[in-house]
Amino acid sequence: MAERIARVAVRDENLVEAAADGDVDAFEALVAARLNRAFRTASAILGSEADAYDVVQEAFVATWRHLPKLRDRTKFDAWLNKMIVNRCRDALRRRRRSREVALDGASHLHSEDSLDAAGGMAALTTAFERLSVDHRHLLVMHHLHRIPVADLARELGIPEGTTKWRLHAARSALTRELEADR
Amino acid sequence: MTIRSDHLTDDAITQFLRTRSADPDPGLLDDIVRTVGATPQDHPWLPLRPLVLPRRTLLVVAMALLLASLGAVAVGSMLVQPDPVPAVQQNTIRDVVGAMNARDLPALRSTFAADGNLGFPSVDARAGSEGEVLMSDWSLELEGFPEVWMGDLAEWGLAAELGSCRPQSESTVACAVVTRWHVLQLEIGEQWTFEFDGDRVTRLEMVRVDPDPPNRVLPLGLVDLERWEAWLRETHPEQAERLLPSGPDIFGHFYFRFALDASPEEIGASIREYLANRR
Repeated sequence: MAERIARVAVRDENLVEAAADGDVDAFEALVAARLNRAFRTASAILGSEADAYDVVQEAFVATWRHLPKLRDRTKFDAWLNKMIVNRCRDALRRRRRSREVALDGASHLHSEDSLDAAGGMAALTTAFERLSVDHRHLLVMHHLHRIPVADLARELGIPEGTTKWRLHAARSALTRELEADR
Repeated sequence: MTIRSDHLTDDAITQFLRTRSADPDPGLLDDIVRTVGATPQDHPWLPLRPLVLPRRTLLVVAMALLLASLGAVAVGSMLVQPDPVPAVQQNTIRDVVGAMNARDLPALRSTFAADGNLGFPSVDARAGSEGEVLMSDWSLELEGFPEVWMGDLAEWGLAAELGSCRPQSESTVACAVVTRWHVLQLEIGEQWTFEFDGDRVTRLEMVRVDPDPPNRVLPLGLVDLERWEAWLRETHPEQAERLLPSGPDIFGHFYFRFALDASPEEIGASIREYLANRR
């Protein structure tokens, strides 16, 4: 397993290097391997597939444009994360400015879910949408993508203790927002 | 599933986020690749073709270029005035620096938009553009963080001095700032980039640009701080274990309190001892 991870890391570094030299095929391989998670992250943060489509496209195009300036090629994923989160932040800011109403999470529910579930999901949606983008992002990475704290710290480029603290703060904020609605 | 705050389990959060997220449209990858194919990349430098010229020609060309440059600078400085920073942004920038120096968190918050962020240099202290800064944005909304950060500024004795500012776009202004950390006896040059939404700051990025200012007021630059670390490890290894952070943290050399066992007073005393020995 460790050997396989090391092989993938080397392959990724080679792809990043080639993409930084203008190789579109190499960049496509990098995007293809990350698109699903990037889109699920953005759609969970924003609660809108249409906004997530724009955000993810913008983030990958910006990544391509600035890639030659990325000094440490091993930090590609941390950097991509940063691009996505910053663009999610911009999208929410634009949404607030244009006074759009955020999508209700209950609209995603399957038909077999009970009314009770719909009520619970709606409360969680309201609470989640009051959180900052950073808090949403951490909860998505840890709880949706199931990334352990140590790996998350590495991916975000911050110490493990800080990651734990931030996760705890995000979770507390969500609880507080739920309580505010009771 | 009725969600109550006292029953907010990991599974409930996971289930909620699953219902909220979606898989990408199959056409998205094609859209990205098509756009990327038509988008040029930004390069940090422009490759130059090597020129082979005789030495004397090179000397003449160099002299001519030097004279032309000096002339252009002289004329340019008379004719070209930098774009002024709008007064409303200037006032906010002064308020931000003032609030940090006064450790006045409510005043600092009042200069920021509701979802304002502070961007710190990550492990690579020299990181500059968006392309190089890693995940180091801290929201002012983040529970506990602004208080801890402001406490750090107080404990390390920060005094920030605002230098010249220039607009980078309608909503972005970059300023030269000297930061003096009196407890660490440390002085460095930074660039603070303010992003605005109206008169409020949406993001403030603080990046070190001069780790070793030549005409500084305080005795240490970052290079000297590393010398103090080396001296401490050599002369007081046990104390070094406790006083120095075990690895680089988000503030690099600023010894974020969260990652430290020792107090700023102990660290300050050790630096003073080092300075006395150095003399």
